[in-house]
Amino acid sequence: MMKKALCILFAALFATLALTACDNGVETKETTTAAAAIASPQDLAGKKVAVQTATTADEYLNDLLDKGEINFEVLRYEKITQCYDELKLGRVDAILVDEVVAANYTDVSKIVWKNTEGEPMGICLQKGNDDLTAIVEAMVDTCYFDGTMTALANKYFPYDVTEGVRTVTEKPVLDLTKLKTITPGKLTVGMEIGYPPMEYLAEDGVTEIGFDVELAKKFAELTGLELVLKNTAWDGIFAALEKGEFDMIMSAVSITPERQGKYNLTEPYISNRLVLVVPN
Amino acid sequence: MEALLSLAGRLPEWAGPLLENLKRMIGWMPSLLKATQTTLLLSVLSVLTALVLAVFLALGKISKRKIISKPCAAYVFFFRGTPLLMQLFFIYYTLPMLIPALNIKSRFVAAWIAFALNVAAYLAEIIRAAIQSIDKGQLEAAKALGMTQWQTMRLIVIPQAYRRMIPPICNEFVMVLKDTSLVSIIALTDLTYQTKMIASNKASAMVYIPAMFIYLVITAVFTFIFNKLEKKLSVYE
Repeated sequence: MMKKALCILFAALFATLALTACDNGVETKETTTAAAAIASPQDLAGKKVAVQTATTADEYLNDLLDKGEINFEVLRYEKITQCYDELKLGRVDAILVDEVVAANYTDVSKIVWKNTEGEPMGICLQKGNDDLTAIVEAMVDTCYFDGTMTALANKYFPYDVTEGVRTVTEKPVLDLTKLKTITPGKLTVGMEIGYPPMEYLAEDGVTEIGFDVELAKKFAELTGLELVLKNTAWDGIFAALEKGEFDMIMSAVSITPERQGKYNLTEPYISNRLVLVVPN
Repeated sequence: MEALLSLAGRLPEWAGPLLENLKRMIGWMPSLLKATQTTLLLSVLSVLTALVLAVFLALGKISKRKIISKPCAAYVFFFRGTPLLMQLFFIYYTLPMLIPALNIKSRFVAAWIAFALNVAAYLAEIIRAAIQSIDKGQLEAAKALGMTQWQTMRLIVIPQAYRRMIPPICNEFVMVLKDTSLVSIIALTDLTYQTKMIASNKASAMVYIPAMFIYLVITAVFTFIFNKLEKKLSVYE
């Protein structure tokens, strides 16, 4: 008797689950092959779009969904590299991503849309840390003045990311008298390593390389401090900054009004915008 | 409602933010519960599939024929010896890169396969241990009575063994339920994925409280069911 009752109970549970799960996006939805038809975010209706969690691209898609004009599925991954794996395997139709990243993945994908609104990148510090912010601004200017920035940009990007960002005609004054970092003698920089070509690991799997990494090294050289890189997951990086785990985030942080309200953000150091990419 | 508000006015200072947080948590419940369906469905389906697989694996491992027992032992060795997270990544990312035909488009199906294969290895060991825990003397007695091997299995061993399997299987199920949180990494909307989405997009770590509460409720319900089952079945021991 008990056995029968239990069987019925399990069967009922199972049936309810199976039924409710159907409208849950669980069932296999074949990725539409008409990816070529995507030319702007408006064409995403019914498609699958991959983004990295808690990035400006994620926010952009959320806003688009909130408008309610079109509906599509957003797949959020912790790493941008996972998004590209999914694209390569044909499981997503498009990725919304920073142009600085997309420009380096032209072997597997192509850019079909660029946001008209620019979203340049800045260096992010704790709110109220004005002394260090001023020093960082002066260091970025120095890098622009002495050609370091152009050299780095040419090394890592196939197009000019410094164009129209800063024009420094006079040698900037770098005043280090007010320099104070969380660990004396060290410059602690937080970054999400795994965002090529901004910050990622070399083929050996341990050496940090990338645009921001080299820029941070230059900063350490300019300040005479020892550089400490702290690898932090993107969705926890701002919380870690607030907790005082590092002096600054140099990790392709897009400048947005919301972030400017919460943190000290420098003026742009390179240009960027959101782009939509589809498989080649 | 007004009575509640006037009550709120008289509450100590710390109660204000607490009530505010509670209100937010209740607001998140529908989306969390919807994601819980995926968690539940994945755990139940994985364990059921794994049970079927595990019976064959366990019997195979006990088998005296090396050609059967060795591969079964190797299977268990492999799936118990590597992390579940890596097995999931292997099935979802590595396999399709190596063999394009094995590209599983559905994240749910990929997760289901990974979990079923992994859990089967553990369940196989549970089943094997339960079968082998039956006293040898009983097998000899059955033989003396002229029973065939299949009769011994069906009439003597299995009725006793499956009662002994219930507690460890329950344990395994609870483990699987919590392990399904790993699928959030392949963007499958399970309870953990939804929780992390709310935590990062709404910038509130408070969401972990209702999410943990939901996990706790589910494990409590299943532990209760398995306990009842165990009591009912062990009546003759």
